[in-house]
Amino acid sequence: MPVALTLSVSFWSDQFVNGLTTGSLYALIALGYTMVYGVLKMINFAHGEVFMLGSFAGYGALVAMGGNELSGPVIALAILGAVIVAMSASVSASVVIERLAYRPLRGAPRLAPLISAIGVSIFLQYLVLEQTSARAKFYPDIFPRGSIGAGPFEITYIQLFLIASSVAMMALLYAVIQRTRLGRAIRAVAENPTNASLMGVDVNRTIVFVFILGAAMAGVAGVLYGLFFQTIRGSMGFIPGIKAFTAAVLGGIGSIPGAMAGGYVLGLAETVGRELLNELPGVNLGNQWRDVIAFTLLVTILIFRPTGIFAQRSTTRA
Amino acid sequence: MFGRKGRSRFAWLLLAASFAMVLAAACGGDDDDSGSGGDVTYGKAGFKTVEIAAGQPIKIGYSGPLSGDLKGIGEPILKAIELAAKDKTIKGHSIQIVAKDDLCSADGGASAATQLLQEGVVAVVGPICSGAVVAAQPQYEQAGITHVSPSSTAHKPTYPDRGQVFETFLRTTYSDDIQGPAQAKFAIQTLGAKTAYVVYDTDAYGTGLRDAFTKAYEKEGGKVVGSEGFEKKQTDFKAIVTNIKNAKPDLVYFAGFYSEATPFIKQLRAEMKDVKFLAGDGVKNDEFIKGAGADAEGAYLSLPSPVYTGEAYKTFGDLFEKETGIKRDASPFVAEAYDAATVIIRALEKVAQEKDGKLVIDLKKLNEEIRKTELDGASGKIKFDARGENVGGETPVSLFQVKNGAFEQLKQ
Amino acid sequence: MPLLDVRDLRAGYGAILAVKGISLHVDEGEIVTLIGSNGAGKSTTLRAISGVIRPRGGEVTFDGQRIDRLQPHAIVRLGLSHVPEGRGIFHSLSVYENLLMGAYTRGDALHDDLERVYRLFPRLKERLRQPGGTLSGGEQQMLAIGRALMARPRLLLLDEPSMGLSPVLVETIFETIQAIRREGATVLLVEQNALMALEIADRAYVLESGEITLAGTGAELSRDDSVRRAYLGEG
Repeated sequence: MPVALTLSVSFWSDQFVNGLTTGSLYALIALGYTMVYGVLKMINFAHGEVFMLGSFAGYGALVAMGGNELSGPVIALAILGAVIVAMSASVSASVVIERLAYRPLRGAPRLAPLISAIGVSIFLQYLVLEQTSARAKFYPDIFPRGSIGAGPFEITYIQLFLIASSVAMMALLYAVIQRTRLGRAIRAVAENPTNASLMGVDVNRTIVFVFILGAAMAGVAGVLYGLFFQTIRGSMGFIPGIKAFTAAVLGGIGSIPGAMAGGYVLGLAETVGRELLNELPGVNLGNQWRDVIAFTLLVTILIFRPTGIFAQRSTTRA
Repeated sequence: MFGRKGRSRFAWLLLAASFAMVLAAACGGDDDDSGSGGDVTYGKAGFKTVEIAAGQPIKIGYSGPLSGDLKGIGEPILKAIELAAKDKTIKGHSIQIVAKDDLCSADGGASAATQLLQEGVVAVVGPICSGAVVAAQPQYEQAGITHVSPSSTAHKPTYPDRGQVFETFLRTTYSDDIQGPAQAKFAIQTLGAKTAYVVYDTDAYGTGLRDAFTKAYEKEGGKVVGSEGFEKKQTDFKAIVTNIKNAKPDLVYFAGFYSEATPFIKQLRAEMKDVKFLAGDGVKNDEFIKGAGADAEGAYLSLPSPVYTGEAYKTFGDLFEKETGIKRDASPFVAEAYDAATVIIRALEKVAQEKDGKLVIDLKKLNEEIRKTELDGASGKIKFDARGENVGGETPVSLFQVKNGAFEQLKQ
Repeated sequence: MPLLDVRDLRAGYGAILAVKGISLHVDEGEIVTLIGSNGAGKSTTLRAISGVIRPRGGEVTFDGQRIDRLQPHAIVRLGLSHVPEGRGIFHSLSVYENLLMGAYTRGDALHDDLERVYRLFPRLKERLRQPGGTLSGGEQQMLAIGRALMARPRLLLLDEPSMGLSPVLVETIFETIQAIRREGATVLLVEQNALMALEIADRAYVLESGEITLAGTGAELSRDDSVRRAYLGEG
């Protein structure tokens, strides 16, 4: 049914940029889910909390470096420092979780690590809630405000920074997976751990690297989230975690390009998709419907296309 | 991860869950009745008689947020209640305040009610938040425990969905039915805002305020050009800001709490420096200024409470500041909380009877006595109507603006 | 001292003991074959040697070092490569990447080894960019052997390399095995195609129900009546 769009071009381009922004975060986090699923066939439900811990570590680093007092070019260095601290925190947390909560359950029925993951997730969430008296923390408001435009597109500096750094991180990860010895080992373990071990691959060590790579992405996402939305709290990992998991399922869980694409599809569905639905006569879905849209998408995919919207033959999956 | 069968079962579970969410969202949206007065019929409250053994304290409950983002509201209120009960004895029995953290949520309100009833409280101050009130009302009603909220301003607690009014609920604050129209009048007449964009918390408080404001604003000749809800703890308001930018309203009206208003206004100001911002009592808190910093500057806030000038407020304020070290206007509803506790304690003094060395309290009589109260309280005159609404004073809604990092009261 | 020395090896899955205490050895430069019917325990023996399953008892010594408690990746590093039954090709990796996986344990230049594999299997060179999963069965077997050679193993364990291949391809594979031996590798070969296995083997063991029932040179066993009846299809 052809529907005339009543809203301005700049509105749609704004919403498109908003979709790319949240989509970037979903995609970065989704990579962790999909890679761990790829090698362990397990959903690491604690990954949302790994993201949250990264965000808090980045916050701590920024505050320690001067917080709101930062100005000038030092800000760039401070953000870089915060990213490094966040990545280290996320990576350490993830490695510890893998060692303590997942590895002892390798070979147990599939439900066991899943439940262990949910337990770790709740534990970390409430640990941080307890430590912060369940109150929100506000990221230092240091990122320069303003925007640049190109035609109908107007994009704020922070959005540009967020999207660009996400894409750069994903490109880097993709290169590691596709072009390096470690990446080959990861793909080999994902396909068949026994055969990979017969090639001399230390499967346990490779799995740890998978957790490290996913956690590094989540740590970066944590800082970007904090700089952009400025409000972080102990429970912040839950919804983005589930959204990122949805993104991973959308793209076909286990597939790395799929998780990236799924993140953007979900981000755009929540913003542009919702507004498009609102263009239909008699439809008025408020902002609070975005989660409904996201999870309706998840359920629809699970029922009709459980291998994801970009389902490929499993033989060409990366 | 899932076997074939497991996968489809998982999918169905999610499907069911998302339908439930759709339903919840659909039902939460609109309030049907907004009429005032009308016939008041009560449900059947389970009043009993309680006995308190010699040497035991009389327990009064408190249900409010004592951790989490809204601790900044709940904690000063608790202090005011404790102040009202301090050193008071009724026929030799001291008064003990039993406080339960309800996190300002519906779930928390219901669970705090269960806990307080188990503790054997005879009356309750609270819940603080309207969402928690609505969830807890049936339990208090069934147990016959009268509860007086110092701060729940929503329409729903006094106009429940079930039709029958809750006999055990009263409040010392005012209804949004007063705050909404006052805000609308201020928006049109003082701010000259012809168009408004409404952003609201989807809980009972936010939707109640939204409806009261929208109705009055349109009656005053304003036009609501858009309206969007959000969930508690939401941090991503970008899509809403884009919609506001597109709608170009004169005013952004925010019906919710400071915990969400803080990230919202930061994201709003990043893109729209000049649009006017008006919010209600849930946002008028020092935490808002602390969190939003420079972005809070210029924001308008209203408070559905008297312009505290009475002698009783001065006495209370001095005492409160001396005893707690918290400034009397740092957080809202402390005077109302002091009054709510006072109303309960005075009624207890009249109703409690000594019998065989025990203190006997008839909860029905306690309820009647509280309803009959007429008090020159710290927050103004207090008198309840049949719905439990405070109709004591014709109290204006006060308005404030954030200037140089502080709330400055506006003259009207 | 033999290159591989297996003593009283016991191994199995769950409650089933598939290998019930066997002893065998392989000397440097030999081709040794293990023949037996389906389910006799041949593959289990290889899997226990390469560490894919942990032996239940006995000792496995490789080049003088006990390896029966080591992880498979550690065993590979000692110079023992196992081409599993079903070939173990990584379907999602390209042919070239599969070959690189074979050299995973090595850090040095691979050029000569790649050339050697291309020389043995010119077909692989034509398909380097193709995903492993798109190869035919014979090509996959070539890739599996080629990949194992990339590790420059001192001992190659081959599990049923002829399975599912056309007679012409089987011929090629067996010629290749001999070529590999000429280039200095030692081979322990498990085969159902006993006739061809005995033809190229220096020595052979017959495995029945998890126990070794006969041992000798390839020539001796191919003359043995019971072997001819049971495995070479003569009545």
